[in-house]
Amino acid sequence: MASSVFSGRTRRRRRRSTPVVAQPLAAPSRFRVILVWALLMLALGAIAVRLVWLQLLQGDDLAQIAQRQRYLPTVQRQLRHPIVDRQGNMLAVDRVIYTLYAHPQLFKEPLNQVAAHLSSILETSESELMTQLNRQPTGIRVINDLPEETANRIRRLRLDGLELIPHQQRFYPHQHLFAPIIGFVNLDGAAQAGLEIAYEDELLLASDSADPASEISDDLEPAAAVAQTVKASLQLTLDSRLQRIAQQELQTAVERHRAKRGTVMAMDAHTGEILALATVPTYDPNRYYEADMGAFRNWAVSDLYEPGSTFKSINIAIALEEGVITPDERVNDSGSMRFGPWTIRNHDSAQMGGRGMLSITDVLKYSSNIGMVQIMQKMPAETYLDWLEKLTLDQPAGIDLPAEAKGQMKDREQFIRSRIEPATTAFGQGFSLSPIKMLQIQALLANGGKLVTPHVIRGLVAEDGTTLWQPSRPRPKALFSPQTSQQVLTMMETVVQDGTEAARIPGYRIGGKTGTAQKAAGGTYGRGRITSFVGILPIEDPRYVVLSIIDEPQGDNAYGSTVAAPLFKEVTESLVVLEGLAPAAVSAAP
Amino acid sequence: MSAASKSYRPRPLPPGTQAAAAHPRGRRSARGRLGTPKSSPAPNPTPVPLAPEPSPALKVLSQVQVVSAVLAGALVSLALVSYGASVYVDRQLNQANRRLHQLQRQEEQLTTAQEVLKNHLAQQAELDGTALQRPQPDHVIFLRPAPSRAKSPLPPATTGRFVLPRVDTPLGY
Repeated sequence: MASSVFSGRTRRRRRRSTPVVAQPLAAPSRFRVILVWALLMLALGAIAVRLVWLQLLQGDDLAQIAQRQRYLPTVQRQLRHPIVDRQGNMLAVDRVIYTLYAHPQLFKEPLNQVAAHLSSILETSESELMTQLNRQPTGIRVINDLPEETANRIRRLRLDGLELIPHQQRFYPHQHLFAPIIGFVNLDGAAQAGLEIAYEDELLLASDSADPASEISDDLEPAAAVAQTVKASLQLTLDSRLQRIAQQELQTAVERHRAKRGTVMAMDAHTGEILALATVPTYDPNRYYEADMGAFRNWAVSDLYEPGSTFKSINIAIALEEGVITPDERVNDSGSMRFGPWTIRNHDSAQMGGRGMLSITDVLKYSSNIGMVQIMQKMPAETYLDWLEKLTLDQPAGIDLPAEAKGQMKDREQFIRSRIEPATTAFGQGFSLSPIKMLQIQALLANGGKLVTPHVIRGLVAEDGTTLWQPSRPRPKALFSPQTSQQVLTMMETVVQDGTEAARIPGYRIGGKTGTAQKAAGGTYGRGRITSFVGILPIEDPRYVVLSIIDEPQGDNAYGSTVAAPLFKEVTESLVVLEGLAPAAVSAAP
Repeated sequence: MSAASKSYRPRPLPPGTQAAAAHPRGRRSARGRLGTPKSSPAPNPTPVPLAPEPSPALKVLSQVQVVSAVLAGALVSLALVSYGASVYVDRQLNQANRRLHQLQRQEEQLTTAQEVLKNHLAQQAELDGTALQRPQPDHVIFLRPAPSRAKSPLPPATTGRFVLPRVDTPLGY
């Protein structure tokens, strides 16, 4: 801070040259000092007030404006957890697809050049594109459902006037294979059937990003969308290899016999895990709008059928457990019985007549209706009905698929009063249940008498393998004793060894039962049949239950042993290989 | 501000200059300012009256002013630096997000493409023309895994196992 305006040198020079008349400096009055200070303080105060104003009062608005400048909302890429199968193959994933819009009035290049560029990428003819582009000057939807790679290639063309709008879509890579189980999500993003709708809450990702369908951008994303939830997928118990084989063989069988529909299912009898659940008809969930509405229901879960002879093994187990028969007892098969106006016959009564005294095993082997009626008449109808209710025949099996149908039985008074009802129930007609319920009940024989819950979901599994969530299931309930189920299994093994040769697999001990039930039509039984076969293997250590049902096969020789048993064999052959179940000879070796 | 606290100190002029004539007048007015005049003959240099010690309040204020000046400078530079840093961090975040977005897209594409390929291959295998069959137990060998044996210790490493013999002339093949 110089004490003078002029430097020393200038002063000295000045002094030497001209006498400077030093002007008296004005005395700084106190008032002026205070005035200057006051003005400066005022300015400071004004700045402070402005600061307070900006930060406290307008702070949020300004922050929002800044945020809006940075935040460019994107299409939410993942709305739902993917669904995977037992091995981890993706069955349902979210992906982003693009719709291409063209605005010819914004084109910089001539129309035919743009069409030429696009036709090679979109694989449509140039003339088609030209007609599309000539329709209107703006807002032409050229094509839907472009995958990301194609959209990138179009973007790289850098043509003006082309717009790619992203949409989020649920994609099913395996198409028809799992459709009746998984269901589908429609174009609006709403789940419509199967597991997608039944477990929508667990499948939906917890998200808090904004508008789900907006312009996609490469710029900054908000931190909230970046910090994603744990990557997990809903793992199913189904094995897609076995499912594919089952579906293919079922489709072949249904077509060969010109049947109305069919199903084949394989379950682990101890845990209730379903390894394969194939149904015909099925549909492609990626193009659900092309499918028949009736295909959306999984008829193996939602429809009822009269089981027929496959239920006989269960009835024998009931009788054994109740103690009214012993395995080596004999009953009289007279060929026909009369109950008032109704007559009951064996299926081969016309050819064979009555077979006379049969062992219980033979009753099963020859599938004798009269024999079964004789057996079940040894116990009072009320006890029989109590047993059927204990089997939860009229309750759902508890599978995780939606819209499960409950079985239907005659009501209590009718069952107890009329004698025909227990008789028809003895050979598996007069009541109905769903195929999945039948599978559950047959598993009673395979796992030592426990009622397990069939299920397709293993749980929500994170990337590193930890289970994040599992659906709650009731504990298995013991209904039969292990001895009873083993006795029935031995009988069922005889049925396959001595009877149903279509179901035999060399090297494996298999127990099974065929079923050919007449379908009720208009109050009486019509010509249509529903053929089925249930198999349990291996007998020495039962593990798997396989049930195949073909509804209304055409042709003369359409029985459970000719239609359903070969299908069972094909599926079971692949099942033993995929599950690594060695033949009895190998497993017996030390 | 400081100029007010420092008073103008008149320098002693070299003797015998013309300006000495102007002095009496200046000195007189200076004398009027400072109060007690000191009689000073021209040849002798007049002791210049010293400015009084500034009051303690003024000293404190000047110290405060220095401190606040330093503080203001530091804050301004800090503000500039943090603004620069915020822009830098923003840009880094931007780039990282872009990379993440790109990787997510690629992962999605890869997963989807892999599954589509699996499905396509399986469908190809299902066609009639191929000779592929579904797995059957008589086409497969079932092995029981051997019981795991205790690990035998490795033989000690033989050093120099691969040392070739030294030859003067290389062998030509």
